[in-house]
Amino acid sequence: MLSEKIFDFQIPKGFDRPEIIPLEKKAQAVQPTKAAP
Amino acid sequence: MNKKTITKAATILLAAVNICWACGCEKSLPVSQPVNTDTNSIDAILRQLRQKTKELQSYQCQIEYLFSQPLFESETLRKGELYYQRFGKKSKLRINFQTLKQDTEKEQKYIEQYIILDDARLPDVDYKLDGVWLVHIDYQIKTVKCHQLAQSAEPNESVDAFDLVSRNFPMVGFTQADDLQKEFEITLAKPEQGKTEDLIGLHLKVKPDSSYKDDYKSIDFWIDK
Repeated sequence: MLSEKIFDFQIPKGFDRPEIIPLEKKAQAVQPTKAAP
Repeated sequence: MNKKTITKAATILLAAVNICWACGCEKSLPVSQPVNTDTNSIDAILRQLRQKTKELQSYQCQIEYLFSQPLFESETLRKGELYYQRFGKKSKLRINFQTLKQDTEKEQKYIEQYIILDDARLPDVDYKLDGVWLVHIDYQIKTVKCHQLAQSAEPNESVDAFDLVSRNFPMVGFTQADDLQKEFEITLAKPEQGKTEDLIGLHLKVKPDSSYKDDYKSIDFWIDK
């Protein structure tokens, strides 16, 4: 049994604010361009 | 299952985690020649492995991830530790890389971390990560990226970290045998030089219509008898 603390993490000092990439954003990125009529 | 088996499995897992950021890079894993195609024994091996991994509550192992770019004749070897723990219906997985070796250069200290979390709170900025997320901390360029992998599920439908990764990559031992056989021609591999006879080798050749055909040619997997 591992300690749950192994999975804890901190944002290290001097790092940028975390970039949050939710599923909706990924889905938007791969949507195909609509064909011209 | 001992450390050798787990280490290999972990290598495959890492490839899965990295696959999104490996655009344009072809991974060429070591290939050995198949010696026979005993479907029954292969099926038994895969099912036995799956059964073993389903029972796992936690484990940790050393991990080595070799990223090969044949076009540039370049190879990068990362080494570190992998941790996995199941907490009831939820699970967590973490990979800490500690060293990196680029081609023939000397191995150097290197910190890169991947953490898969289920319904966690992002520290420092007090942001709630609903669902399953992959947190990637890169100390070289000082960035933290949080990729959502799955939406929040009902309490009884939580997704295991390994099950989730298996949807995107064939993890021998962690993927259903039927799913693997849809994507790969699986044969027993001939023992490689230096490998003892107490290991069984599986050679997975990617099928032409496989969803993995653009990223992998074949995978060799070694397990203890």
